[in-house]
Amino acid sequence: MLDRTLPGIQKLQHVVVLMMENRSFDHMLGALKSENPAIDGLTGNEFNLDTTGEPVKVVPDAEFQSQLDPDPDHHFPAVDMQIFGGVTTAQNPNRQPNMQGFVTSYYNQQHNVGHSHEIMNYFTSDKLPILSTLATQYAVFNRWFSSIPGPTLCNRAFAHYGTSFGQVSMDVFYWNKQYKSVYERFEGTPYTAKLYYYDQQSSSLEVINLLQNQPQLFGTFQDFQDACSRNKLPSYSFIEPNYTDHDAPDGTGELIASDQHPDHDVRAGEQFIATVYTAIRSNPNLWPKTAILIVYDEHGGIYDHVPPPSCTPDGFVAQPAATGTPDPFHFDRLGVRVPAVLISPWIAPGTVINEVFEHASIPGTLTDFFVGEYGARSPREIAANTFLGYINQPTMRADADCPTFKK
Amino acid sequence: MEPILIPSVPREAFNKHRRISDLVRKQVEHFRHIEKRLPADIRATLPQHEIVTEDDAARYIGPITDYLLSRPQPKSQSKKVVSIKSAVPMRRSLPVTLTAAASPALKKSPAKKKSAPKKETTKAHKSPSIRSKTKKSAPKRKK
Repeated sequence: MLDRTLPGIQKLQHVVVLMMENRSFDHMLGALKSENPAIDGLTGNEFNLDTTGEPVKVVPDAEFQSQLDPDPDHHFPAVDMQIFGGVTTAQNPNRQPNMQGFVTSYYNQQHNVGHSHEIMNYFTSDKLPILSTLATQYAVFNRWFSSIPGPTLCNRAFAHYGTSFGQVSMDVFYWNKQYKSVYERFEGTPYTAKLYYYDQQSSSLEVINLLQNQPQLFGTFQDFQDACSRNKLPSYSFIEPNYTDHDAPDGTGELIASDQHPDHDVRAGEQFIATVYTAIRSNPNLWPKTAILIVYDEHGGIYDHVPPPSCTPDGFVAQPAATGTPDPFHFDRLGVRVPAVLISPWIAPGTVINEVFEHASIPGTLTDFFVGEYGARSPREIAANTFLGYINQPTMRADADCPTFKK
Repeated sequence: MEPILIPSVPREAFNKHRRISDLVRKQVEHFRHIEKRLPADIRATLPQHEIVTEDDAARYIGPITDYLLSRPQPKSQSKKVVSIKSAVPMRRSLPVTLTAAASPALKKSPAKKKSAPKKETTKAHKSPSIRSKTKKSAPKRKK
């Protein structure tokens, strides 16, 4: 239960969620363990065996672009291999996640032993100054997992609906009216909610249900920036990055993909994160009363060392034909760990959160804070931890104590 | 605390001719799923080119997104729409306020609180991902 007497919570009026694409915790933030041992990153001794039986250790050799090409497989069967090391339930009904199948999974795409090792690479913090600074200066989650051991769209569904309605893939699916999106739940309240995609050419990934049927919920990233500068930010903003390299429609320039999805340049995502942060941080009317969550939708097939835990089943079952494995999936365990950072001037620097979170925590938190009692939620969302309780400092941090970014 | 330098992105990182990822391919498929159910006269106005590259995808997704935003909404939803137009990209509607009677469980609306004057500059809000075509001297990527 959130303590609403906390000064930062009493001030809180806006929550902004930025969901990036396809990077694991260890890949992006694993190096931070050397700076703060409380962060559950990498020691340097973590390894997978390659297909010749040789151990492949994690190494700080991640590159901004061109290294993870082809895009590492992160569909359900591949992620199952990555987590369980290729052991099926037929082979061992009591199999346990060991995170030993990443190199083999990547090998399966090209049958190139050397290239399969690239999946173990991670970034040093100096290469990711924006995300690393935010993670160390505010709160970093040690245990934020993707909701499903699978690809983007079903994982993002959990952020919008608290469930994927039984989906473990990227296929078209229709919502089950039993569970409304978090945005619709704001109807009938004095609060507002909006999804901001980058621009029309990049658009949203929530096409079939929300964009098609409720376009009024959407705006562009420019709208988000305008809303910040005019102090018209909605109560809840969900931001989607740019998913494609494309020309600006008015001919004014090139718009580079900022989602960090392989093989897009990771630095463009750093820039985008900095822009979102600065839009809030530089506005003294918003900064004291806004929380920002930066989170990645799933790990993108890239190595992480923490086995995903079991979780409350959400009542749906994906049959073997859907999972692509011999087994049905009961939505009773989480996907691979992803980077997640919570930002507010009411959070102490160096905060490390060890509770388990997943994307159903997003609608769970927003509904709990803005909407209040709301019964029609998935069991997963009801069971998910909420994250605003970490905005818990008795006084707001001094302006000079909160990082700023410059070009 | 000294300001942290935002990394620059070399010009060659931009490649609109890159083949679309599985993610964008699926996004396009979802738009195609909607397009198939549109009236023929509407479909005739939408691009029908083959989609191989990211630029191809953007040139298809933009117009169909414009259409979805501009088409009339069912009566039950039309009250919620705030000046949605199929106009210039990246300059769209104001945030939608879904107003009605407040739940008794809710606290006071933040929207009713007084706003302070703006201090933002235009420069501070310019997207760093928008890069001028005239820019010539991008740093080389490290190999």
